Parts: sequence; C-alpha cells; structure tokens
Amino acid sequence: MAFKRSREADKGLQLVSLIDLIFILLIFFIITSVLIKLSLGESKLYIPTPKNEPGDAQILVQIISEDSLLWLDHTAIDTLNLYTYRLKRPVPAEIKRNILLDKMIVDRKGLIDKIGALKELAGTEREKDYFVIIRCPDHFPYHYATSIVERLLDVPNLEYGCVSGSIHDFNDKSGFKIAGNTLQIDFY
Amino acid sequence: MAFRKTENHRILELTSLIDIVFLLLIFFLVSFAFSLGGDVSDSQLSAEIKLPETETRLTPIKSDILRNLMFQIVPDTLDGRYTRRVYVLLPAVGDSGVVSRRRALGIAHRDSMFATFETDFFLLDDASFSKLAAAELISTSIARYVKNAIRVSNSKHPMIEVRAESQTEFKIINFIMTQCSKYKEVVPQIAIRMTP
Repeated sequence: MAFKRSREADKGLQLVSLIDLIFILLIFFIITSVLIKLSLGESKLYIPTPKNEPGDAQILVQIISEDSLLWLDHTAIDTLNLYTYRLKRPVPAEIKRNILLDKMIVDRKGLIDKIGALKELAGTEREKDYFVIIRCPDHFPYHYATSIVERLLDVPNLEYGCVSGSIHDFNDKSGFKIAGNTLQIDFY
Repeated sequence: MAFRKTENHRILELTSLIDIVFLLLIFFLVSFAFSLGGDVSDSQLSAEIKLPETETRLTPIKSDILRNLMFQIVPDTLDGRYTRRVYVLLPAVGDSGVVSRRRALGIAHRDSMFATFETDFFLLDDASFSKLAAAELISTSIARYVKNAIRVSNSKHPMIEVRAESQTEFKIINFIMTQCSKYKEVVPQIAIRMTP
C-alpha cells in the first residue's frame, strides 16, 4: 500500500512572521493605551469667569455633601411663611433654620430638576438677570462646585458666583429675616 | 509527452494578511491621533480661527500645547504633612514658537515659578490665605498676565486655565476664580482641566 509522504518543511514555525506580528501587536497596544490616556484621563471644562462679589442672589446653593444640597430660592420665603404662620407666635432663628434645613434640602437628582426649571424660567424672562451663589466648604473637592456650574451654563442672563462657606454658617445668629420678597441671611 | 501537473498554490497567506491589516490599522490610528492633536506647522499657527465664546461641556484634551496661562496644582508634602503645590505655566510669547504643557512645567520648575501651600491651608480665613506665598504667586501671575494680555495671547480674550486633580480643595480653585473675577472684562472665561 502506498502512503503519501508528508512534507516535513511545512510543519516549521514561521519565526520571522511571528516576531513581526508580535511587534506590530506591541506597537498597537502601546499607541492605543496612550490614546486612551489622552482622551479619557483628562477633560477640560470651559466656564465663564464667576462674579465673586457679595450681593443679592435669586438662588443660593449650599453644598452640604456630594449628594446633599440646600437650595434656597423664592419658595424658601413661602415655606417659612407657611410654617411660621401655623405657629402663630414670633419664631426664633433656630426654628426658621430647622424649617429650611428640613424642607429645602435636595439631592443631586433634585438639583438637576431645580436647575432645569431655573434655566427654563431664565430662558423665558430674558430681560431679567438671574444670579446664583454657590457656597462650598473650603476643604471639599472643587468638582462638587464645578459640576453645578457646568449645569448652569447656556443661558446668557444667568450668572453665578462661588463663595466659601459651610452649612454650619446657617446658625442662630443668621437671623433669617424676611423683608418683602427678600430673605436676608447673615453668615458669621 | 507527459506533463507534470503543477500544484495550485491559491491558499490565502493569513500571516501576511494580518500583518498588512495591522499595519494599515496602526497607520490610520496614528494619523487620526495627529489630526486630533493639532498640527503645529507655521501655516496652522498663523491661521485665525474664530473660537466659540464658551463651550459648556467637558471635552477631552486634544492637544498638550499651552496657549494660556495655566496653574497646575499637584499634591505635595510639607514637614511630612500633606498639602498642595502650585506651578505657574506660561505660554510661549510672540514669535518664540510653541511650548507644550510638559515643557512649560519644566521651565516653571527651573525658574522657581512654583510655591507650596502651608498645611491645613483650607482652615485659614480668606485674608490670611491670600497672604500665603502660593496665593500671592497666583494673584501676581494673573495680574501680570492680564496686563500683558494683548502681547501674550493672539486671541482677543485670553483665557486662564487650571489643571488640578478632582479632589483638590475648593479653597484654592475658588481663590483663582476670585482673582479672575477681578478681571472679568479681560478674562471672560476659565478652563478647568480636571485630572483623575
């Protein structure tokens, strides 16, 4: 019986091609890793220069933690009036503070909704200027504040300012005086 | 006459094919990366490109070329305690070409354009904080940059950039923003480069 003789030469490893491929793979992964680092590792956020001056603001956002914020807008006066009217007696600052801390705190999702509503309002009332003050404790990571600033953009009549300060500045000495449509808070 | 039939070698050479495919892939990847990274040829530099007034979302870094005054804030230690150091990175002026951020960082290091904040700097009040050497370096650098704004930058409104880790304390960034707010008319925009 005749057997077909196999060719021994075909069984050898193509070493040159193998090295070639390995080098190409190596270069490929080096380049992709560098590109990924460049594109994903660092990002740039363009923000308008803030107006960091003391003054009146329509909205005050106090950062309490990464997921907890105090949002004070015109509804804060309504809330205070509602609850203090029920008490039917002069209300000390401590109680006003507790009412605000109880009713006006929002999480990140709530903040997004509030900002969305504010932008819509500012977009419709273009003749009116809106000013938002963001208060953040000094030791907190700055991205807590810039993530809020990022969401406030796109509306020309909406300005913002950043100031240092913690929730502990809302204390008994703060007063929480209501004068007409204005809520005056003194920080010490 | 008997002819020997030749064997038909029409089998695809897979190794060579992969070789060529990878070569092409790498070529296009690299050329794409260069097109993103921005050409630094003279023709590109002299071109006047009208940039939008504001960009509002986080955008990936496309180029490492420094075009504005930049404050780079890095972790540091002082007496074994954790703190921050600020570097002042200056862009190339006039016809002196372009400078990358890395090169500018080297120059800042060489020329001692850096300062370290005291430990627990975030506990200081604003007045005490502004008297720190690092804070004074920031404020004087911004003032000088704004003064020379027309000469330093080709753009109508120069920008100030801050490059810092996302965990950097708000006190430092807010101080820079407050200094910039003094020159809001000249510097209407700030760029924040957030590193992980």
